[in-house]
Amino acid sequence: MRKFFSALLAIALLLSVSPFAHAQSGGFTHPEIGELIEFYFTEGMPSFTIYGFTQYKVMEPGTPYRGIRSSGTRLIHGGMDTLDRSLERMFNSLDGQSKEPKPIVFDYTDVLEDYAYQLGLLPIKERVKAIRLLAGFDGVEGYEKLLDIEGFESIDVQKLTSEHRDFSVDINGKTYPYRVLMFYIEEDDWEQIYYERYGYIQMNGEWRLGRITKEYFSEYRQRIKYLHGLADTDISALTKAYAEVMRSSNWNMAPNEVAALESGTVEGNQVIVKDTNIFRLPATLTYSFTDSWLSSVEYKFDSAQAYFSAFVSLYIRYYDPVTIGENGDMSWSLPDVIITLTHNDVAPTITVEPRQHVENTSVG
Amino acid sequence: MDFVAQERGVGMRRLIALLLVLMVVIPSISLAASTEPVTILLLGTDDLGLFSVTGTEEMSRSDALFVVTLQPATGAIKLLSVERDYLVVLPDDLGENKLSTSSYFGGPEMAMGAINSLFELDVSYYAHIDITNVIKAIDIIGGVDVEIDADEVDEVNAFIDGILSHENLSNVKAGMNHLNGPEAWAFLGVRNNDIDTVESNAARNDRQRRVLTACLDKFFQMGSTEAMKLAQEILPLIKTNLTMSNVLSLITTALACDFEKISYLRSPHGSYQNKRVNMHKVIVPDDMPAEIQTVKEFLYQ
Repeated sequence: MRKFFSALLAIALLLSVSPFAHAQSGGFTHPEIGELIEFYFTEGMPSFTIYGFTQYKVMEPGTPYRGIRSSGTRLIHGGMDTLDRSLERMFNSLDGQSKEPKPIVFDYTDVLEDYAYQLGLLPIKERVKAIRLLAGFDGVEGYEKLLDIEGFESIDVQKLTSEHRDFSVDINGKTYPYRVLMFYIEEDDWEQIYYERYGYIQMNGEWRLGRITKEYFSEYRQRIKYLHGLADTDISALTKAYAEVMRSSNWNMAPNEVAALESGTVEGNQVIVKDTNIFRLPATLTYSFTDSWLSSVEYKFDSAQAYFSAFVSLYIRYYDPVTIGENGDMSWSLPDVIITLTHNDVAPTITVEPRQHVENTSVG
Repeated sequence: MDFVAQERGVGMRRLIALLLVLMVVIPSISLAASTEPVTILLLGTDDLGLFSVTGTEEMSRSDALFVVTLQPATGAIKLLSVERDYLVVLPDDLGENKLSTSSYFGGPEMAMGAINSLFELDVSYYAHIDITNVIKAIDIIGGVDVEIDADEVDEVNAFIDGILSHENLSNVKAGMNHLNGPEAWAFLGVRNNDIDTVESNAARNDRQRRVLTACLDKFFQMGSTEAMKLAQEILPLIKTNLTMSNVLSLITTALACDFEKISYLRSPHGSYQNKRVNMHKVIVPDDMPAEIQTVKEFLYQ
């Protein structure tokens, strides 16, 4: 009987996994990078390799990484580990208390980098508390509390307060506070040098871990340096990022203004530009208008493979996707816009829309 | 009179051999007066099996990059093999990338610009051939005789058995082997993934050099009429910016060179660092000015 239930359970698990969950791209040369890339979905989570070496991976939720539970395609749920619990488990793992190899190098990044020495002297629970406060998870009120932690008695609270920035993301039509931590790790294997990022979403006042991603080390000298959710990220880089997908348009434009800009014609509530490209991918561009104001910018591609290429291009610019749907649709929430990559076997699309909630970090 | 005719026959065979070697096995040329050194960039690419996302790429990455200089004053022929993973800065906002990727983005012209920028050279001619055409060209000349080292045999045979499912292919053995086009592809294409990428590339470049030399030997064995006939079949397989006028000038220069005086250098010659920049695994010499000087001295002294 146990065997029967095991078989039933196995079948149920198999059926519960989307057919897309284990899709892969086959090899292709990325038109921006010029390298051979292979793209995979494991348990619905994307990853890709360059010449067979993993470059990027969203950790799949089926096997807790470092003993930490993160999310799958269903992002918002009560089973997500809290901020404190996930960090405690991460530090335990770094001490060799998980099946993952013990690193030989662990470095803080971002705002934590300057306080690495003090953080290293603290016991794990205190260290987690200090990270939480330093990285802005408790808002500007949290910085004052740092003064009570050993090693942080003379910290410049005013500076931290003035530089504090809030972040949020839109998920299924709702807006959630959002923050990211990033760590640099080297294992005793030259291929295992990577950044590990933890994306947290605040639900009902509690910070919970949404995703863990691993980005294998590379010097991104020409990359747009805005990482949404990271305390010390370069907000000015967003101007360039927006200009690329919005071209010279903005949300305050009427159809005739966009048509003039693109030398196109107005067709109903749309301006369509054929034979253009985005991220060196051939595309048809459609500007859509609601109440005579620009409401979305859509790039439609003409091959299934363009989906994988577009993902890599979006990752280069905006790092980790926030939502990853069962069907492969993904979205990146930025301060002003939400960018959605839609999977489609014939004509995948990238859509740029204004966010419902525009953050105080907004640019442009 | 007979002696003169014989000399002319040898000269013609040498010329055709040089042209074919320059234009078939690798890729490119810079032509000036016949007494001046002539430099050509030779590019070899591998378009097999890669899926194009856009369908608009110039071509694939370069597996083989050679700079050849003919020095009519001394009769020397200099063959410089350039590591394809060199870090270069590409134009048109493409930024930092691998040298080999330049041909993917901008064809032979961009590759030539990248090589010139890297070594402060002034190469203005190229010849490019894809591996698919190398296979054809080698079959056209009836195959080549290549010395294969014992430690290369297993990998070449694995390539032949596993990837090439053609009929009429023979496994190779250590020592001299007669290779047809697909077998030569197997020999040129194998890669040892157990060693450092740059060392692996160097070994690959050495195999390319051996095939090049084998083609040369083959042509020396032919009569001029046969060589000319084969040249007419092979030249359409090559993409070059050489004009007919350039070719005639090259002929003059080539006639003044001696194929016994071929010398070979691989860059990087000095020490280097492996890095990953913008998702590319690249190399950066520890002393680039010294590397540039070594390359210039090799090509032009």
